[in-house]
Amino acid sequence: MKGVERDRILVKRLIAGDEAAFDEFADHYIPALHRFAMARLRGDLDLSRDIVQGALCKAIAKLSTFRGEAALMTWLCACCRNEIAAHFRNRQKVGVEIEFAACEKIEAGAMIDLRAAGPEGDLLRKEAAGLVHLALDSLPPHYGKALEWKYIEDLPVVEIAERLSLGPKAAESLLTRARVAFKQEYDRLLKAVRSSSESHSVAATRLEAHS
Amino acid sequence: MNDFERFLHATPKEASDADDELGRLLREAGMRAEMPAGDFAEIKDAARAEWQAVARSRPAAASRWGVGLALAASLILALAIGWWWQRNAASAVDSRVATVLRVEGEARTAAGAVLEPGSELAAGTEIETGSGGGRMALRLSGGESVRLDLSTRARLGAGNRIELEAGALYFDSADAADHGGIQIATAFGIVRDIGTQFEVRVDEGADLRLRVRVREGTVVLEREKDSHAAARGEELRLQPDGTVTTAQAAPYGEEWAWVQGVAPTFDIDGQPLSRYLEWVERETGWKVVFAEPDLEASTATVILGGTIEELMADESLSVILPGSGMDYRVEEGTLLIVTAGSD
Repeated sequence: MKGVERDRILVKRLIAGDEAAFDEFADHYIPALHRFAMARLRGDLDLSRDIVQGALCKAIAKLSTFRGEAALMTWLCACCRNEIAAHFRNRQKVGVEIEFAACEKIEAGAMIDLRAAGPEGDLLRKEAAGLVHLALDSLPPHYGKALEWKYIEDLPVVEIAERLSLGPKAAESLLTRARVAFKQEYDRLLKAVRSSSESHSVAATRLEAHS
Repeated sequence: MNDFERFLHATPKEASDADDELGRLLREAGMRAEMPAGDFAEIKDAARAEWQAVARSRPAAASRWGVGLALAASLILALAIGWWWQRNAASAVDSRVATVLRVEGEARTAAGAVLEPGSELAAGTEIETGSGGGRMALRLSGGESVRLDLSTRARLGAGNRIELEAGALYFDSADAADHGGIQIATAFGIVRDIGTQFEVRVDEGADLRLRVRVREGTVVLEREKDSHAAARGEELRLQPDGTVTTAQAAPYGEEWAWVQGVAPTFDIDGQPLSRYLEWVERETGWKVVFAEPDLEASTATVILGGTIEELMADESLSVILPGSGMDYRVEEGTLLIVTAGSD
């Protein structure tokens, strides 16, 4: 089943009042959105908590408008960006750069903000790690966990199989699907970052030409 | 070849290089940070409260309450007026030929009355669905299921006869206790069934007048001078020049999707998994096949709970089967049930 199709079904179950669907939704998307917010709020824990709570409640109230045209993670990230934008608009702060125009759109590029502060090297590393984490968060939860266990914790397939209550053959098969899904998601995000970066460069060049 | 197939067909060296690259990327990024447990609990509680409020206030639930209150009010009224009601209502009950089970979008009688779940329809009633998304499911008094697609106009007759003026109608006799046959009368001929599921579509297009597709059983199209039969997997096409052709037509797939979209909800609570799978088979047109004989036997003993309201039959599989330790694949109209994790 395709990711967006899976998301659409999860949303339908949520709207129907399925308790298990709510747990599935909350257990995966709250930590994922929290990481998304933390990366954009310079690690401010209290603000990230408030932003995620506000964004999630608003998204839940609008669940019936989710049409499955974008992935649920993308849709929620766009809601989160809107919440961050509203927060800084209300306080008239400019300390953190928010791309207001992109906040109105639901698209892969809306999840990426290359203009965070910090030296260039740190920025690139942080962005690369952020991109990997965002790609992992966009996968089905057990795919992301299986990849972390295999490649970061270096667990043998037998142990991954045990953790997922699968046989070793099924775990191998799941890891294969997870690798492919990760590659597709990571490539998609990378493409969005590059496209976003190019449009910023073009805008900057035009501004320089005018000044 | 898609990414997954490319991955499977990569040479050992290509696969190893790709694996190394993926490992390097993930190790450099490190594990995803955990959020504070207290913050998680706080956000989840707030989200749950919002979700419960949304789930409680959704229109479907409200209309169910509305129907319940209306029924209660009807009962009080009936008790209050006693014998008079019984004597006068008898003729109305006798003439009732169908009950509305589900409406998606707009559906009305020709007289302008809005139809909603629970509406009872008498013989002679003309009904129509809106072009902007209106669809409707009915149950005939014998238990047969009838569904109307977008922009459909039909008139309910007595004795299991429906006149289809425009649009499309789907018929399923599975739940009829003693189905005596149906007649779908159109301007181009009468369609009769022999215990079946089929769709009749009246088309005023340039190259077609009427199309009859059969999912199960046999259907006969009777015209003034000739008749034509179609069985499962076939369709009859009446051309503007009066010619009737027979062609193959898969009993599953996109062409049938609208039928699922307006299907009355199947109440799974307390039902064995086998009964649920029979329903999926009937709604999707797929043939259910089990990878192992033991799996099939176990479906009679697995009792389901909860609800699949809002889900179409094909969508509900990914919710129901994992909870029963099973998984599935759909290949060429076959729904293959396998043990979870066995692929």
